[in-house]
Amino acid sequence: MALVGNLKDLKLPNLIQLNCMEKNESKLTIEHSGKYGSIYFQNGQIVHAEFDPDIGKEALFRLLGLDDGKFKVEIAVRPPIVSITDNWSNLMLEGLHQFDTLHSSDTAKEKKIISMLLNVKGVKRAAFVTMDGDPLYAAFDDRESFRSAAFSIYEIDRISRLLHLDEVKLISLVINKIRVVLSKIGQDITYIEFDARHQLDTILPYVERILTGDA
Amino acid sequence: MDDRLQNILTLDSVEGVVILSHTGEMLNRKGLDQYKSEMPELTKRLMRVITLYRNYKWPVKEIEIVWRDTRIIGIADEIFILLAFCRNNASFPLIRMTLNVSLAAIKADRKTQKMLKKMKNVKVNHLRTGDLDEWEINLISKLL
Repeated sequence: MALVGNLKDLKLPNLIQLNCMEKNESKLTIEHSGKYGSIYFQNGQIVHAEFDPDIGKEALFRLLGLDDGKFKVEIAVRPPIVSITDNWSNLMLEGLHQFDTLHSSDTAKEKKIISMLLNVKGVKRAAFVTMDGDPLYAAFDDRESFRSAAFSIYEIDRISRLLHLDEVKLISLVINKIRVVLSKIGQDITYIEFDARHQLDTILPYVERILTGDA
Repeated sequence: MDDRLQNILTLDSVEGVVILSHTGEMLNRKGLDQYKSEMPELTKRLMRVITLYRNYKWPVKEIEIVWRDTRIIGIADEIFILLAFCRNNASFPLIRMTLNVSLAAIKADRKTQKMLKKMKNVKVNHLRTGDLDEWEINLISKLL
């Protein structure tokens, strides 16, 4: 029988520890904001993790950043591949250290939002950009996109004033199979790229929750 | 074209429909009488965004601008931009679908074909430096 629950009640490090100490051959599946991640255990070690689009340690570290989401542990499930060979306790220390560092720096808020956005299904890239189009916090460097985003927000702000509307909540542009979603937070811009197959109405509630801090 | 735009306007919570050419000319408008005088400025700003992406990235196929109570839903191709102004309680999938069908029908219309022939050689630079303010020029210059 599978063990099911929510990470709010049972933290991921505890679940990992339990599976490793018990030397379970098992699969731990986590669902967060419509996106699925998995961690596989074998012989008391973490042997594989995946969390779209990452696999291995990167996926595991991103999963360790989740404090909410449904989980399921299934016993006697073999890993499809072995992508992790480090000792599980070292991995936990490294992952939790990364998470702490992320949340203690000056841009902790931006980093946390980006980290949460990257966990939403369909999100390919996300960044915080200044109104000058420079990256404030971004895991990638695409100045053309950032400056186009700043320019777009500037023009739409002018339209808001012109029509006597409140501040624009977000702008969505579909270009070349990508949906670019731009939103203003204070004086900065959140830049999010989705696979264009994901409909705006489906992703909007998740994005709004994260950006307003309700997630 | 008139009938097609009128059909979109009959959808629940749609307050107006506008069709623009790639030159930024407003070809037709239904509803939105309260914004009549603001339309040229709105068109100019919107065309800048669309042109920017076309010039520096890829052509924009859809644009949606979401405010608290209002949303503009637009679909674009190489010739037209069809925009629906709606309240935020509208059925957005239905509006998007209707816009797509309407744009295809408008393009196939004989009158539109004649209009397209006339427009064929008209080129307008929506990002001409003389029309932009300092901030816009600064951002654009970084893209070159």
